[in-house]
Amino acid sequence: MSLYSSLAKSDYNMLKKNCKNSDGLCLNEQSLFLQLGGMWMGLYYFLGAHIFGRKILTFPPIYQEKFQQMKLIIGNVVSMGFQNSIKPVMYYCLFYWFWGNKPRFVVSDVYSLYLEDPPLDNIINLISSGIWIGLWFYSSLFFISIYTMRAVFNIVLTEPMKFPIESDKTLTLYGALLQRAQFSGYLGAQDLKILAVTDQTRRSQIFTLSQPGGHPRNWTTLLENCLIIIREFNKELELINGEANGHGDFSNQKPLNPSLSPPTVYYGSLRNMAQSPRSFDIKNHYKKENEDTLATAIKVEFNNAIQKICQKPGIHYFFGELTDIKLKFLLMQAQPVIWTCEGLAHIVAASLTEDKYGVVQNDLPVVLSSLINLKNNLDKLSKPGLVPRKYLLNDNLAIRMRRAVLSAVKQSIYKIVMTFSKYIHDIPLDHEVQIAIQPFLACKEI
Amino acid sequence: MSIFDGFQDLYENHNQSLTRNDRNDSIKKHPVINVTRDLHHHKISDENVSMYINVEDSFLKKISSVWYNQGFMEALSIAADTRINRESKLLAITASYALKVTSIFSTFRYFLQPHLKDIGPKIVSKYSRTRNWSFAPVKCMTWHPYTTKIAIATADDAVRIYCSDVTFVSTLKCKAQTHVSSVSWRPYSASEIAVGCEQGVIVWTVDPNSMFTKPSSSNAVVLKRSGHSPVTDVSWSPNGDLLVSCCGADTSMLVWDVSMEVAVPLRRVAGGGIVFARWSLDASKIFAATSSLIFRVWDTITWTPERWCAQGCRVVAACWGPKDIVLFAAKGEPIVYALRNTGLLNGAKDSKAQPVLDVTKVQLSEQCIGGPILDMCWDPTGKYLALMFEESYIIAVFCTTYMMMQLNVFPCCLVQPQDDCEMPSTMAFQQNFTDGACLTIAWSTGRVQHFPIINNDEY
Repeated sequence: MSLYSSLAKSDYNMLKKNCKNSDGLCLNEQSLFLQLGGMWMGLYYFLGAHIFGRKILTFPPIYQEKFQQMKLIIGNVVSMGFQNSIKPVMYYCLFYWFWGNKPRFVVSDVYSLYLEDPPLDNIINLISSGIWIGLWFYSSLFFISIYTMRAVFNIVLTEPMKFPIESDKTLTLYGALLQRAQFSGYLGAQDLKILAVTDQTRRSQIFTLSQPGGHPRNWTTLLENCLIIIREFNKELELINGEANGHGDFSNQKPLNPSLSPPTVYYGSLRNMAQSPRSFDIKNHYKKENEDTLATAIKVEFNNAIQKICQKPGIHYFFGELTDIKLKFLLMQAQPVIWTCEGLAHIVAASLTEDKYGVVQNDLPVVLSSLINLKNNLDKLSKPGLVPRKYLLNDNLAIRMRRAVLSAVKQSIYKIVMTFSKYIHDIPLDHEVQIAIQPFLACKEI
Repeated sequence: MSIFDGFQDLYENHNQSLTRNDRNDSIKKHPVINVTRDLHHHKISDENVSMYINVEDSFLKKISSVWYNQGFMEALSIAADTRINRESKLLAITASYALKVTSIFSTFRYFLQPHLKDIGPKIVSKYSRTRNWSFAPVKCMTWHPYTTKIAIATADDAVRIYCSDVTFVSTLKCKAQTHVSSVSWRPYSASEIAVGCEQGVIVWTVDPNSMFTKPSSSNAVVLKRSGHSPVTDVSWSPNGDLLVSCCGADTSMLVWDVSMEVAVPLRRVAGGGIVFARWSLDASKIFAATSSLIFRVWDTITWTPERWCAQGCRVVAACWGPKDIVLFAAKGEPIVYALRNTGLLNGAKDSKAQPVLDVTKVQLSEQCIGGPILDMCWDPTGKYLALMFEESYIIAVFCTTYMMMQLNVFPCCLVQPQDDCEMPSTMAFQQNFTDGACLTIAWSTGRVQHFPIINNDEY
């Protein structure tokens, strides 16, 4: 605040000034008013933005040039700055009216200054001095600069990045996808979608076979990472659904779901096209049983014990995870899942014409079944009968997000099913999946 | 030599060929649609207000009711009118001064932005490609991309969905849905339809399995934004993820992420309001026509426009075909232009749009045909092009082939009104017709005709 006021040539910069009527220094109360106001604005913004508000980085549906985005934003930022600073200025004036004499006494005691002007904690003096206009102006500048900073930050962060498919030095696309917890996971998923929709050269790179060897290494790794993202989201949803349905029936709360599609069929480092994937699975299975050591057993026991304690009603009330909060949290992080689903669907659809080696075809059932699984779980969330009232979302953003995920998943399934509608009966699908895609084939799914 | 000479013999055998086509099996299952007056819902408009007897209310009551129904400005003008406001002179004088001040402001505003002068329905009817939009029984229509399902916006501001599978008709109607200008089905979805209307865009979700004929308005999402009214055109991206809405009074076109209800405005200097936008078939480009001479072709990867300037008048109709060709026609001109390889696709940039079809008005037997183009439709395979004219009531259908980088146009057939008082209002090609193309035409009498054109080896 003082920085801004110092830019303007005024006598508000100094806390002290020479008295007009007598010798010695007098208190410049208007300066004090501004200084305190500046502190209050900082506190107000901090509280609003970091304690009570939420920080969610929203990606715009389309990305324009930075300059264009700035041009669009700037008018909004200025008007928002002026509007949003009215409220804190009013609060501050009220505060100063009631308690303004206290800081004034403290300051004038410490510096042993006199007061000669009429005190500002009188409402008439405050208004007639016009200092509140200055405060409003300075705080608007403060808000404008902060909003501009945030806007620029947002624009630079959400810029789509191009990840190479194959590279030794830089981060590749699937490398980025793998870092789900970090921001590059977001960028990776976004890039996957952009690649799938627009970039034909990189798409063809995905469909190529590795030299030497002839393995569809690019596609397999990509698919693996995409499926991990989708399955993990799915698992979380299943947990929430399971909890919501089995609520009050604690014996039924073993949350892990066996219905997840066979876990690590293709997770081997590469898939040999000639070899049956089942044998991999069996190998892995044996390996896993050997790894069941004492440590893991203790861990499991410990977790079970904690779970049992948590299930006692009182403790559960205080320390248990709140399902709706968890669901909200999950949905807020769903943006990469949306992009992954859409990107995967587009790549698969493009493979019908572009995939020369039939790299993608083998994996169609896996993609379809995981998408259908996700759709079923999302449907369960929105069915009013199944979810107890307590878990219904009341948050607008979360509801929109849920709708966005659901519509993205449905569009992806439609995309795949429509593209392969002629050949869909030749694809070896599970019976359940086959039933589930029937409404999509007939264009009857909502 | 006019292109219509080729129609001469077609025209003479026209009635026979039409009846033969009508008996065709391919449209046997198509919904039979006839939009008549009694189908309409009761709609309170200015026309039937005159039916009610005038009641002398107290002045305060009158003003408050006008304020509530028509807004503050109308109430002010009522208060300023000394014939109505006999009771308080002071109020009348204040109101008249207030009116003068506001009119100065509004003239200044219209001086800066002249395209804002028209209000709501006037803008829509001015820019609509439907003939006589304000009085036509069918305001606009669109076929579903994958199923035999057509959505028709009727004069009572309801959108009716006719389907070949079911006999009942779903009627979409809610309070916010007034002055419907365009409808668009979402690709890769069976149920979502966007309706552009006065307030903004309404996205309906119509459950195809449900038997409700009147879905409640809880199935609708209203997308609106201040300054973006009335919406003159909505169109979904062919990938089904983005929705573009245009407004004749707004210089920016909005790109919506519908489920998140967020919009990004696309705006460039110059050109008036954006009248309509068309996505290319592979979603890589958008053709956006403004209310002035300028039109733009947006690239959807970088979202940057390429600016073009029409010669005579604003672009009235445009359609994309395969291989990124866009055909467009300017208002009041009987010429169809083609724009190919927009941008630097193969090194050399087309600096000029090529005229591909000249449809100057000619006299054919007793009727005239041709003239300025009102609307234009290209079927999804890019084989048939239908033209609707401003002055002639016959619809001309052309065959188009694309060979050796050259677009060739031959006459195919004509569609004639049933009697003299019938005019075509609007038309649309069916999207999933496999045997050729099926042109659906809404006539001003409310009749909706399906006109199949079956592929044969002739062309």
